[in-house]
Amino acid sequence: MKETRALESIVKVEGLSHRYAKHWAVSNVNIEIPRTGVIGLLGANGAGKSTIMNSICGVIYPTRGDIWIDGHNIRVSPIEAKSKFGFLPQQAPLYPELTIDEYLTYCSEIKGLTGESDASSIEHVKARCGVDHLSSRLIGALSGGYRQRVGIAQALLHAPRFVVLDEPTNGLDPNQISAVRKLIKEIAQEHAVLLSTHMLAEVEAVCDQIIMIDRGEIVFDGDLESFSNVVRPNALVAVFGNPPSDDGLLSLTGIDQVSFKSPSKVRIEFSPEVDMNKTLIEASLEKCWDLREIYFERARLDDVFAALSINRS
Amino acid sequence: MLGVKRMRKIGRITKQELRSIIVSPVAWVVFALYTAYLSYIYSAELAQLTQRQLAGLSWSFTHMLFGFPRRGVFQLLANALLLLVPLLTMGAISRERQNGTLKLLMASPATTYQIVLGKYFAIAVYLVALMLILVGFIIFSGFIIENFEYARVFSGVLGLYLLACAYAAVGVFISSLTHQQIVAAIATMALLGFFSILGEIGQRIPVLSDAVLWLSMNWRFYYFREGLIASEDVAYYLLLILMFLTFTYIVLESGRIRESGFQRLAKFLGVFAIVATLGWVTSLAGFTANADLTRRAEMTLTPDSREALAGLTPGTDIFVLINVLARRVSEHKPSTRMVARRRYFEPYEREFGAFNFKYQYYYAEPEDRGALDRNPGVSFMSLEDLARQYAELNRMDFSKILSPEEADALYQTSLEGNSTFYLAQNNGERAVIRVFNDPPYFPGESQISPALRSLIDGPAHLAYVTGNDERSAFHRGGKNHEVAISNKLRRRALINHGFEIFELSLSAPVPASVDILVLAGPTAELAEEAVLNLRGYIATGKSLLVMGEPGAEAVLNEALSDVTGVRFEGFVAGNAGDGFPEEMVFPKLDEAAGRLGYERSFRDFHLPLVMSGAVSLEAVGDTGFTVTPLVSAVHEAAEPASAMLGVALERQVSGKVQRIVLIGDADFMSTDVVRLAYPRVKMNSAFIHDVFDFLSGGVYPIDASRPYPIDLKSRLDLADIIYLRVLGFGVLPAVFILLGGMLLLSRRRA
Repeated sequence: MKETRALESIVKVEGLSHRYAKHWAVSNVNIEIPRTGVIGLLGANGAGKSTIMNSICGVIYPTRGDIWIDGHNIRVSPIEAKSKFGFLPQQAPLYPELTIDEYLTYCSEIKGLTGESDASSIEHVKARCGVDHLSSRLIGALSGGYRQRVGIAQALLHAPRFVVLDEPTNGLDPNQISAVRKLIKEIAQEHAVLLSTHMLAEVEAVCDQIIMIDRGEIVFDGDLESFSNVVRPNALVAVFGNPPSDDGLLSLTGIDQVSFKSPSKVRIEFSPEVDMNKTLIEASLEKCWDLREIYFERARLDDVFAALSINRS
Repeated sequence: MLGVKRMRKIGRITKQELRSIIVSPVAWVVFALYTAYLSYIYSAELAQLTQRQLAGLSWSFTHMLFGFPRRGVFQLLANALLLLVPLLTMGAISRERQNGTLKLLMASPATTYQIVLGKYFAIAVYLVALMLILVGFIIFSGFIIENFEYARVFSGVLGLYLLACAYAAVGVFISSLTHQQIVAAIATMALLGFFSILGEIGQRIPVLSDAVLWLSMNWRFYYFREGLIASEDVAYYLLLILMFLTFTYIVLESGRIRESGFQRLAKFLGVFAIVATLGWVTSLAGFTANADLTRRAEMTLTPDSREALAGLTPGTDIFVLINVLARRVSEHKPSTRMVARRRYFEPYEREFGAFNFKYQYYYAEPEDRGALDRNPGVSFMSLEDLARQYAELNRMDFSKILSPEEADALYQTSLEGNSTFYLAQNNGERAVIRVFNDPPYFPGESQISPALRSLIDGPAHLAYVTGNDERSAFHRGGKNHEVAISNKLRRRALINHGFEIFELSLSAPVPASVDILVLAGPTAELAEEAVLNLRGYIATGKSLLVMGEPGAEAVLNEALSDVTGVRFEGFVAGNAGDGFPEEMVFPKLDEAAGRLGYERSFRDFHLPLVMSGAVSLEAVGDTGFTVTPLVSAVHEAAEPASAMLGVALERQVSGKVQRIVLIGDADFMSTDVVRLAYPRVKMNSAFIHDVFDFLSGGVYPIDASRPYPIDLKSRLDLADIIYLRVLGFGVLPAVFILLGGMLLLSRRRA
């Protein structure tokens, strides 16, 4: 087991497997997280997202595999590794009887290797998370959105290079959600953010990279673009200067269904075996349909999500 | 092991935890409740003791107020903390689970043991605050009570603190098992309550009795409360704390790693085994030390006892023979018998290693029927049925109880009048330690030490001469010496102080085994043979006690005066004064007696020594003895003004000191005088013990008495205690509630 390794990525997870009592919650997960940007850890409830995050953060000790954070193996030197990241668990870890200032001071002291609480760091994260005007309010008296902000503020103390947010928008109202998402994007300018969610909208809104987990295994790892292309598109929209009739289109091989969106715009569903581009262009030339535009419909993320899950069952 | 950085991290967690405690209402409520309760019990007990003082019934104020078993401040506070500490600890870990902050801590660069210790120390600091309130009351006591025993209560405070800390460790552990505070609080109270009664109920299961006693936290509190700090008791609490904190650690870590229930159980058992082993090691004789902080050294053996028993080898067996039909059998039932062992025998066991206690129950008709005769069932139930009922009442297994015949065959119980008694055994020697018909009932150090000494040195053989109308050592009734010498139920009888009593006739030579011969007021002339045998005995250099009788002076003078050089002269008129019998004499102790010891008598110097119908003594010639006057009667009006009533003679016989005591009265040891109602309190018993101490060459009896306490007075008037109560029960708790409330409100408003 090597203690340190090359620092091209901020976090490296190798062969992570974890087993509770009998069943494997996570098996053979490999993740590499770049130094900036938002990585979305996507998966249904119970897929293993929290297990991975808890392993990375040292809350649980994984059965197998190694995790390096900024070059420190969390097994070998947990104290160094743990001082490199900020963590917001699924339930914001707050002491309702403390004020925001007291709470952040405490967190800063617990986290800080130097032991001195860093007043400027506290002011900075408060301002950043928009809770600076509530400094001496009891956390117990805050609204859900502000509590979540305080939780995030805690994770940002000491400017960690890596921030782990476990379902950070859970239970917030739409306004709060968009505010938190905006905050996450800002954070990602300077930090690497690992964000877990089961909401696709969140992934679309903030993530640069997606890792999808299903039943403890990674079923997808790539950018948003390739994620949506996982399911090959099987519908396209074509615009004709001289639109054909339903039957004219249906007579072509491979076309299953046709529906006109407007007199000139038609949505065509086709069987995946055929090259519909070619078929349509050739038919248009031959029958003078005056094809002007052709574009494929992007696969809906839900479909991808469902497809990736179903593929494995 | 612990780096500075790590310590600082623990300190930071402690600080946070303290802050959480201070800003929680429960801390202030506990503060107020604690203060109110402490004030209440303190002032109630102080009022009671002040009333006793006014009635002239003072006993050590410090002990009565703080150390007393049931009503003393320490024990009552210990009981109260059993309910209060769980309120403080209930949130320690469960709140972190509930808030989700446990994850924050685990993901933070702090190790689990730092988290556990940090949290625990915060509670320990809070408990210091509770102790400081108690210290306030103690300092106040120091102002109002004369000669207050600070050292003794320091021991109690330390013990109470350790006990509270042990409670807290249990509480933190329980708190780590749940995420509901109220569940943690109730479960902790239940477990602590269970622990505190475990010591009693577990005694019924013989295999478990020691282990169970070890787990009983309240049991260990006893010595602290009484003023003795024993290293093993301190180690016990520290180990218990360590054990429960390690349990907490295991619970927290078990959330992080994969392990089966069996593995976890194995860890718990492993920790328990290690702690139990360490507990055992720290209680081994070689590793223990203790500090008796009581002013009168009440909790440790007296120097005399220690010196007398220096030769006691390990492995003393103590058979406790308990007649279920005898008096006070409930003090010997399985669930309570450990109390007496701790109180009366543990000081020895600490010094000389553990004794092997074996409890054997039996039934037989006791000579001392005190308990039996009060029971109307006696008339219609067989002894066996009655014994069965008593056994069931005291939760003893009747099938293991010996029948009268079995008990007598094994332990000769009939020789002890079928009473309850202890049979000490070591090196093949046996000695009986008895219980008595006085309120303390149990044997004390003055009775146990001589019995144990007799296992090493053998008893002193004390022979009463018969055949010349002497006073008897065994016969009951007025003029005989039974109560002073051989009454097994009487605490101060010499038979309970290392003496083996028997009677002999001077018609044969005195056996060599006799150590002390007593000639108690013979009135019939001694036969020629008897005089020869008596002189033969004196020639061997052994001890002799001779008591004269008015009208029979010639009997003794003929037999002895040429050997002793002392003559018994005429009748001494009484000097007791109006209202007392004419012949009653109150002689004074001679200062010269001090040279020979007689410490007990000098301690009772203010009390009268009662003699009745005495003859004076006169030294008539030098026969080689050093003559020391012991007691003399002083007559203000009569001539001569002073009459010698007791002398001690000493001489060297073949390299040894021979000691002879002559007393001009045989009544000072008689049942009539010893049991006299007026004056009821007298010097006689002390003087008798001193005489035999002298005659036995300082071997028996052993003086285990302690000086009288001096903290007997409170300066606070009974009427003023009401102010104390108002302040402590009303004002202080209100201030705490107010302070806490204001603090909490101000934070809420911000």
